[in-house]
Amino acid sequence: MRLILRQYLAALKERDELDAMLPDLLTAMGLDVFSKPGVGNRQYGVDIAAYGQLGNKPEKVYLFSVKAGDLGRSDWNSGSVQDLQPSLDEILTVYISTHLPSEYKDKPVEICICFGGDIDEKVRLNISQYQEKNSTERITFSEWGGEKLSQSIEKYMLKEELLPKEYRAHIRKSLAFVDEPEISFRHFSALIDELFESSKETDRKKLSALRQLHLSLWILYAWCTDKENIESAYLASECVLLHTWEICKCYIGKKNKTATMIFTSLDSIRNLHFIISNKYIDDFINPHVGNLHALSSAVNPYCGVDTNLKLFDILGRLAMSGIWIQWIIQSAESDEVDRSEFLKSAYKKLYSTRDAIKQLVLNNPVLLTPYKDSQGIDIFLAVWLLAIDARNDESIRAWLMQVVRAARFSFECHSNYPCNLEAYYELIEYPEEKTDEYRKDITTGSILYPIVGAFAAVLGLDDVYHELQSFYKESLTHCNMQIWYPDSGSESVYYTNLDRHGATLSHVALDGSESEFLEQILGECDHSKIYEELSAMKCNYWPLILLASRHYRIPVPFHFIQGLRELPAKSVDEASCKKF
Amino acid sequence: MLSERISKIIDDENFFSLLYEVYLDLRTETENISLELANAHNDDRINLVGKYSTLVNDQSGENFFLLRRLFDKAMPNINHPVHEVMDCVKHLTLQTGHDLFTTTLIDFLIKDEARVSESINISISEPELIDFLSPALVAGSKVDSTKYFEKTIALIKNSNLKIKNRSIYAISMFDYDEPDCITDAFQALAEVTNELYDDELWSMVLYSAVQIYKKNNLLKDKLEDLFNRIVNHKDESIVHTASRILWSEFDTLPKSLVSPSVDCLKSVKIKNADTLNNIDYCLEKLGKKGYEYLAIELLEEILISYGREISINAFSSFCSYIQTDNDSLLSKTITKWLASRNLLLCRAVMDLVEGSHSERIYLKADMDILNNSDPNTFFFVAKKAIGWLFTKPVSSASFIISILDDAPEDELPQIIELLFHPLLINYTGLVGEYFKVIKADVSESISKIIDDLESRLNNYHDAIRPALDIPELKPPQTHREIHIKKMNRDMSKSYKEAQKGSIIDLIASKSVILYGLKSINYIHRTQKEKQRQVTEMHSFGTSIEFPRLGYLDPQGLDYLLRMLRVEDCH
Repeated sequence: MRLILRQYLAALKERDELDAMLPDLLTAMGLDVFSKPGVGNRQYGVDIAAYGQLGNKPEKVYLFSVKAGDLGRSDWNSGSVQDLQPSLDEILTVYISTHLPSEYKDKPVEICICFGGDIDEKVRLNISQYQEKNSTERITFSEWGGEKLSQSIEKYMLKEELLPKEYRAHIRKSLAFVDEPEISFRHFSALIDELFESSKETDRKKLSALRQLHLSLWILYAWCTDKENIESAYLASECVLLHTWEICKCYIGKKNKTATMIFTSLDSIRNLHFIISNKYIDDFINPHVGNLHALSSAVNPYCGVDTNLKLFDILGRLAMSGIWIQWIIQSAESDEVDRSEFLKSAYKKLYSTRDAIKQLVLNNPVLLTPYKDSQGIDIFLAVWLLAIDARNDESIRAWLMQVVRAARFSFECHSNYPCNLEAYYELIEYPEEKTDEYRKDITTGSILYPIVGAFAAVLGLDDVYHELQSFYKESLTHCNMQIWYPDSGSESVYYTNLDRHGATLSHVALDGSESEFLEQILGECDHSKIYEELSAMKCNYWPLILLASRHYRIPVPFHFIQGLRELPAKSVDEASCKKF
Repeated sequence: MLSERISKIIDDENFFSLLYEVYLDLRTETENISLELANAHNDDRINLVGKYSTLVNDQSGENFFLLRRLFDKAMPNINHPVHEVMDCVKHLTLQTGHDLFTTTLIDFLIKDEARVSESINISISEPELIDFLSPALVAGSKVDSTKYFEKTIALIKNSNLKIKNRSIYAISMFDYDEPDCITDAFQALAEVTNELYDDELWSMVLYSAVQIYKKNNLLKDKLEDLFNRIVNHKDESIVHTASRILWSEFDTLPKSLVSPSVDCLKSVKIKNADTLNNIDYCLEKLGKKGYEYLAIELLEEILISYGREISINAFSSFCSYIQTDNDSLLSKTITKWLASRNLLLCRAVMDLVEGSHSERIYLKADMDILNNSDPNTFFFVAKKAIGWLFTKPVSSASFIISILDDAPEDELPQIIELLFHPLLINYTGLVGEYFKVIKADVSESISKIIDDLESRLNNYHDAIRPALDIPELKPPQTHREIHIKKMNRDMSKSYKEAQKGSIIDLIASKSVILYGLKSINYIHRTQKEKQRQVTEMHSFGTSIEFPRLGYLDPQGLDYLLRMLRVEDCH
């Protein structure tokens, strides 16, 4: 396992990876981290600053300058602002004298040269000379290389073996199969399940499980990055985050040290999910959404089903990334601190994500033709994110209209209309028969059409609603239009999907007016108050509800649409953010 | 020797097996075998007629047709009651399902006029043997032409329709030495059509009239008159006979009767496969003889009348002719049909091009048709060419390329857009290669258009390329495996299906070689001598270009193609 840790640390990049993990390690070691890394705010050579006591040493200020991978000659002083020597110079000359919090002004300082890998012997002399020259009674230097970091992770983060023996096989298999993400994720899921199961007894075990989950996810991600396929890490990060919430939610409202540490772990895991998700979206999706058929071609499909399944999956992921940005904006706006610069950049990212969704649909027309009724979940997420800004109404109208028309066309032609089949082997065969009976058999129920109808009704897309209604009256009266709502049993399994839950409003009438339709579905929302009692909703962690829908393929509660209706007709994000 | 062998087998219960062996041993002496059989029959050593009355065509042992041939050749030389001979011939004919008329029966009858009279009487008096009336009358005409001509004319006037019918048929088989007889025969036929209408009777009159005219074409006016009167009645038998005449007697038939015949054929019923088969030959004949417009007119009428019940591929001879021998007719037909706004004719274009055995069929539009059409026809036919010929992209592209030089300026950009999407974008290989091949031979403006399209395609691919190596976006391996399994299953099923009725299966037994590239066999020439033969095996394969959007956006492509096909059509 040490070897895995070493390799994992060596593979971490400085920005957002090694320096994102380090604060968690330092906290686990008992230090109080008072400065964390953030984009654009590297302060005079210091990436992370902490205070406290390590072992028998006196209490000190620890200032970390972080470099990724091995430390080589070119990292020392080759003219780049990122080089080590200029960073150390800045720490010595600027940071210590001007940026240390007042309570640490007189404390001893240890400048920690941190790198994930090994140190090149060619540069060791430079460092030794530099340390010798600049060490004083108050200021000392230390090296935090891959070996020391991996030892510390083992020693402090888990206070025992990295993972108990019985779990190690899962992580090893998961790492071995990162080239086959489905298999890799299956093994990682087994690890999540076992760690989750182990967390049930004591606070200590809960904290330990969270840390083990966090570290295991980091290792998987590093391994995936190294193998250039982060699919398994992406799926794992969603699953870990949801399970993490299940562990954390019992500490809601508590303010003791354990609760603080538990929620610190939640933040770390959520941030790691963001890192992975951002990499997925920024590296693999966004660069290609603007090019016709690019992402569809990227699937390298054996048949149309491959493209269809993958593109709707991408759509859901892209929408989720935008939903998290929406959440971050909302959280930031509720802060009392002035974060206007941050918000400006976040809004920019939110707008570009919405544009990316529109481009994705426009350039990958397979997104007009869902094969699986359950792909309504991905459509919900994307349309909901777009619908928050009324300026997207026309794009939504065009998209949903095409979805309805294409479904109708395919239905009439006995082609690939949205159906209740889920298994791949069934999908590649369907439609097996061009008979009315077969068609009825595989379209016995639908969540997709009520989703389309609901958005059309809420957003006032009359033509879309009428097209859907006409299709329903002509061909879909046999199909049980249904809407799912969480119930009293949902909270206990929402984030782990250990069992079926919720209640379904059956035979929703699509043949009435839009207002009648809305009255049915939103009226039921009013009866289903349990939604507001869901822990994620109560704690304003509502994206977890949507994430659970995406990850576990359970319908999104229509209460989210209820929020849209209450918005002014032409809302903009600033107003809408406060709603969610 | 032969006589002895025949004598040995005549009483054997395996007579036909042994006779077949004799035939195999002495196949060059068929005539002698038959003569020997006739002698044995006439000597009362065997009842040949009785024996053959028990011969059945069970397709299991001896070759029925070879054995029957021996009987056919023996029959004129045997002495036997006429009725029994007729019964025997009827039995043998029913075994094969073919017509009852046989020249050998005629040869048997003419040996003795009494046989003729008797056979005529039997045929008339026994309805189940009525089919022997025609050969009996023909035999009579060879014995005494005047007498039996008059007899036949009289029978034509008989009130019994079957007797009339067989007599009318018989009269077409006479040798007319006397021109007066021809006039009388025509007169008799004309009178039949004056008396009453009966579909089968009139079609027989039609046939006989043409056959008689063929022997002496002096009575062209009379034929025209009779022919036109009959083909105006477009019932099944008449249509069938007209199709037979137009195809087989085209060179004999006065040219003035071609058009009425074609009109008559337009009334063909889809259930009459034989008539449709004849019409196929008629179409080919019409095409080859300079009546292309009539052929197309006839074909259009049938295709429109029967819609989806019939495909142009039912007329395989004509299709083959038009595809391989007549570029001009192909161009005219395709352009006319694509511009017709008629879905059935557009579908026929698809069937015609798809049915071609040629891998790539290059099409060219008929500019006379397009230049004389409504505005927007260029864009319209371009859409139809893509919609209906999408599975033959080179045909589709070549058709569109051929209209570019003459296309109005306001339609040109839309047509070029179609060439790019959906054609080039889907068939980068086939259409791209076609563009490269033709670039040197087309006008400067088309060459420029091709350059622009190629450049656009390159940009499209350049934009896609960076996305192609993202492992995260690939489907799971399990999906790949499931798909491959399905493909293998489908392929195996198709292979087995394709093997059904294969000629290979009929002529050879199948052995499976599990390893190696050569097959070693020993051919045993005699008991001691054997020859070693090594057969090299070869692999075979084929490849097709599947349209890209079939994987990337199958429903979108399907919708687009359907729109291109049906838009503004009826």
